[in-house]
Amino acid sequence: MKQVFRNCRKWLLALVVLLAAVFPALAQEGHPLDGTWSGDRIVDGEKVRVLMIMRLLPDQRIEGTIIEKGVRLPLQDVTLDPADWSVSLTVTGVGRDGEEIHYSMHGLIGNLGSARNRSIAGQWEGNNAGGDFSLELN
Amino acid sequence: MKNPLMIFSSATLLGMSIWCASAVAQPAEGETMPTPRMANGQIYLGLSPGQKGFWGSSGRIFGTRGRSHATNLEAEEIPFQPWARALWEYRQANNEKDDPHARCLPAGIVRLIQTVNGFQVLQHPELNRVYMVFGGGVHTWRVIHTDGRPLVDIDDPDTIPTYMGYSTGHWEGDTLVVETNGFNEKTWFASGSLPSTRYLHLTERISRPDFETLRYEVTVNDPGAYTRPWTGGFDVAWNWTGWDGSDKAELHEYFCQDNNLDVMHMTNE
Repeated sequence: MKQVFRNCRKWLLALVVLLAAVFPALAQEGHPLDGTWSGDRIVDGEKVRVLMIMRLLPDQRIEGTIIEKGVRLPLQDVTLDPADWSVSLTVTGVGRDGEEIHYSMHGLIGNLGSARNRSIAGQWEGNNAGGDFSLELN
Repeated sequence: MKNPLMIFSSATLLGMSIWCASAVAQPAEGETMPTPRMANGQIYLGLSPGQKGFWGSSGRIFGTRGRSHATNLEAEEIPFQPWARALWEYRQANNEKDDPHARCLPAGIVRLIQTVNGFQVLQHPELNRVYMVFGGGVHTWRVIHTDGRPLVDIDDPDTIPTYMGYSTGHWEGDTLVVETNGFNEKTWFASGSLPSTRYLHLTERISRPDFETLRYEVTVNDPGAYTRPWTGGFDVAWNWTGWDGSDKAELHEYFCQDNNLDVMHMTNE
């Protein structure tokens, strides 16, 4: 049964990534982080496909989820500094094989004014590792 | 012209011509015409029987230039959330080069009223609807329901956010009060590159103090982008002639998508 769930999860993730890749970017003129982002996180020299969903709450907090390797984890402490449009967040949870996941991401928004080609690029670090990441607004 | 029948016919034709002309006559310089009313006393916010014209030049919901209201906030007084102020300043510093409206994308409901090429208001009490028909932008229209329906629940997953949101209106005396929510985040909802979020809730108060003036006031309530609700408005002038100066005085055919050359000129220089 566990295997069935894992397979379903893989297919669902594949579907989400496919939709993100196929559908044209939707304009998003509101909060610069709000929306669905996709891209890569470089882990041990390999690209790991990432899907990230962020949503502004009325009290200005930003909630969100990151999906990678078939695992969905909540985003924590998401901040946007409008002074330089820098973004910081933390990801904490348990991976597919029960391993602990904990890393932080720090990046800058690019193409801020463009609702269709907005990006976030920067570095991640955690679990005694680190690397680059880049995301584009879908 | 000795034939009495011819004299009678000519006099009749002349009389009818004068009557017809007076039915669509515009007031003399410095004069005002009263607000037109339906048989039931409700005012016409737009075209009334026997008249011609449409609404044209307007103002902004902040600042006090032109037809903007003297009570409007100045830009620095707008209660932006920090990110929204920074984004607004970024857009201003870049001469609004990323304006979706310039790319012929749908505009927000305040922006549509402010757009050149004018608009018309068509009231259908029998249908419990007021239509606003816009000549500019993407040549579109907006529906305001006046059947007392509630606003949508923006947290309901079945509510699909839209460019113009979901409007429900009611009359308070001679003022049409329109509440709208359920917006998507794909527009600059008003002229002047103001940001908004899905939490945007607009309360519009639309009246017509005289024939040639539409008074428009809107309260912006969006805790996502603003720290508190704020209000601004402007007057809109009635056009007696078409944009070509002719006396046709109808919204003309205009499609932003056709031969849109604006975008290439949208730079931050």
